[in-house]
Amino acid sequence: MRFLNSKIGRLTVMSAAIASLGIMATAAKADRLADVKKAGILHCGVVPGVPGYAFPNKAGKMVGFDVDLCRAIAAAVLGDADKIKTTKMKLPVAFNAMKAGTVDVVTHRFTWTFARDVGQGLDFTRVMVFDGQGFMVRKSLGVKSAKELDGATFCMSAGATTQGNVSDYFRKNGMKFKQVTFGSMGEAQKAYDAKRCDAFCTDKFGLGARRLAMTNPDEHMILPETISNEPISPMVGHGDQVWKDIVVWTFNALIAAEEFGITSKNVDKMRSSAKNPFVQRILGTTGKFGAKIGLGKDWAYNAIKAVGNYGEMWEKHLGKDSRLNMPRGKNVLHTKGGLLISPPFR
Amino acid sequence: MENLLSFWRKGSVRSLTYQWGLVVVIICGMFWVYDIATTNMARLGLKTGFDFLTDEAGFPISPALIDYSPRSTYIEAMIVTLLNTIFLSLIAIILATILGFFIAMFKLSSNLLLRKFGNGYVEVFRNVPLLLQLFFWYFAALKMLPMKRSSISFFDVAFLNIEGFFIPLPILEGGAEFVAWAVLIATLISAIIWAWAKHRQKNTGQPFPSLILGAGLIILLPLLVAWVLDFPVTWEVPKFGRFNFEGGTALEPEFTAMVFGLTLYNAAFVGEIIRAGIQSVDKGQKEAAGSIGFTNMQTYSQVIVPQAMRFIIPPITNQYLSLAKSTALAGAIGYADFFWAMDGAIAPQTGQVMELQAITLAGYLGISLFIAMLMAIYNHMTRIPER
Repeated sequence: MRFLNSKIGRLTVMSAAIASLGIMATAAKADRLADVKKAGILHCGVVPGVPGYAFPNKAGKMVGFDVDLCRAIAAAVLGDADKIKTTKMKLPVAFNAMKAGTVDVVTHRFTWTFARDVGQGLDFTRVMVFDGQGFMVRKSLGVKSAKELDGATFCMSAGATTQGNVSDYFRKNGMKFKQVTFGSMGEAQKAYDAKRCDAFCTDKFGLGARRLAMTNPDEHMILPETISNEPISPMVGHGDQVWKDIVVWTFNALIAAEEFGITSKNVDKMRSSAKNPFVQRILGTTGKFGAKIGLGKDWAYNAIKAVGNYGEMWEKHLGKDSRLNMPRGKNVLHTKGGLLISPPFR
Repeated sequence: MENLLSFWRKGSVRSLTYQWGLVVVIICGMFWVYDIATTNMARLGLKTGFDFLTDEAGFPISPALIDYSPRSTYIEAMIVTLLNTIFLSLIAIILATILGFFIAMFKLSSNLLLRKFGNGYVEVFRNVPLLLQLFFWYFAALKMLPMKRSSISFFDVAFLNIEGFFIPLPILEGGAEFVAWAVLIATLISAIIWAWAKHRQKNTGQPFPSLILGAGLIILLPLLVAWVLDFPVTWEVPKFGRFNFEGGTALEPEFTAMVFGLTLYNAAFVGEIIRAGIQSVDKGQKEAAGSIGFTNMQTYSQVIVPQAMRFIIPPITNQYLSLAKSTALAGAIGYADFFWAMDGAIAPQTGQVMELQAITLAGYLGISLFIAMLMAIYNHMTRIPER
């Protein structure tokens, strides 16, 4: 270890840095807001194809919850939600892209963890989905709880916190298990469907969609346990506090909009006639909140107008109006017993 | 001025200037990139270093050739999966070479059916992407293997089902080391016999069946010792637990599919290399061997193959290297190889992407250089002895 931390060890890292950053490093910038405005386009890293979050529609355009988060930022900064360029990224690529500064924001389904947040040259912004890991099994297995899975085999996908979570859970409960970890979720799902494993494991908001994709969805059930806490948060590069504030407060505005009943449909009416000072400040009719973060006074208005409030986004892509039809779980406002809360616009 | 020009026109001066100029440019370029990288990394507050290697990995790895549990460290996880990659490469290289040899023989055969089969095999397997073939073998295997409740039993000690081939695990008891010694001694004696037989044949022309004798010795002597010691081994037989067979050891379908896919794909290339090598040997050599009474077998083993080898070694080294590197596809069908651990398991947990990429590069470079070195040694041994 000492050798690896020596000069030569560091030089090796540098060579890797050269390989991965290369000339791109020169493009790493200090003033992201000015650069985005100048370029007139927002670069977003998104998950490579998860229905509901980021998936090509029939016209081949990427749509979904994560894409809308990106569109909201573009609307706030550039005044046009369509001025985005999405790039599909797996985790190692996304982390390198953040470091190299080739993307402005990553709205991927990445869990916020200590090791990822600290010393990696990136910042998590705010939790946009509270998820947790769960299990799917065949009903014929006769299992009612994850506690009965001692000795079972699990299919899952690599590239996530999944493996460590399952391992921790089983160790905690003194149980043994085997796992087959695939390079992608699709293969893991197919292998489980082919009965290679007793159980399939991923985040619960993914399990529902995966169950529908099985050969015979009715043969499967999702166990009640949630074995982990998966706060999913978009990321920005470390060190540009102005840019981070813009991203965080755009997301806050989407949540606050739901709290105050602002929707994409009534946002114009609210702007002209709302009496609530919070609504007035969000929509820029009073105060100079936009100017304080370097944006126009319509920043939040534009974002809400383009993608709707948090609830609208959820129902459109993940909830009732989507094929996934997922309940919101903990992702409801704190006023309704959920975990979503926006710091006050004051 | 005139002097300077003529000095410049001197070939050695010019080439030296260009060469050193290039070296200076490259070094300056590297410093420039190094400077940018360090500046940017400092600005982003990146913490580089390899301290994380001794942290607990937290995820299980199956199969593991050496002792490993989720409590092991990242560096142990890397070693276990690197061994998996090496093990898989080794098995696939051996099998692909054997199968490739047969494909070459088929293609050179005078039998029309065999020749057509050889041609067809090569065209099908080398023209379909390896990743597709791996998916095909894996999911085909899953479709064909029996379900757990209807496992196929082999004499109630080994069982085959969709989760793998479960076989008894030998557990060594006291005295087992004598058996190991017997293997070693038998191998030594065989080597001595082989050397002696070679020497005798060179002097007298009398052949001696040293290979058969050696093989017999290596098998029988340890068996005899084991019998005398009343077989110092017990077997842990797999038993059906709550979900599946437990105990013993298992050959999992992911590994089997990888071996199948890599072998079949690479055998097509290896077959072509061997065929080309054999055809590169002049026809006259074969006829000459026949005219002094060599059998067909002797002609091939003593005359054709040794000469063909010199042609075969360089391209087959490339093929072995390509095979070893293509094991990195294993993660796609769930086999825990080195790349799977680095890119799929450790990077997402630690986020230390750059350090991991450096280690990954070094790992594959090491494997490739090792294979290239072995092949170079072999090449050196089989070259034409020059006087």
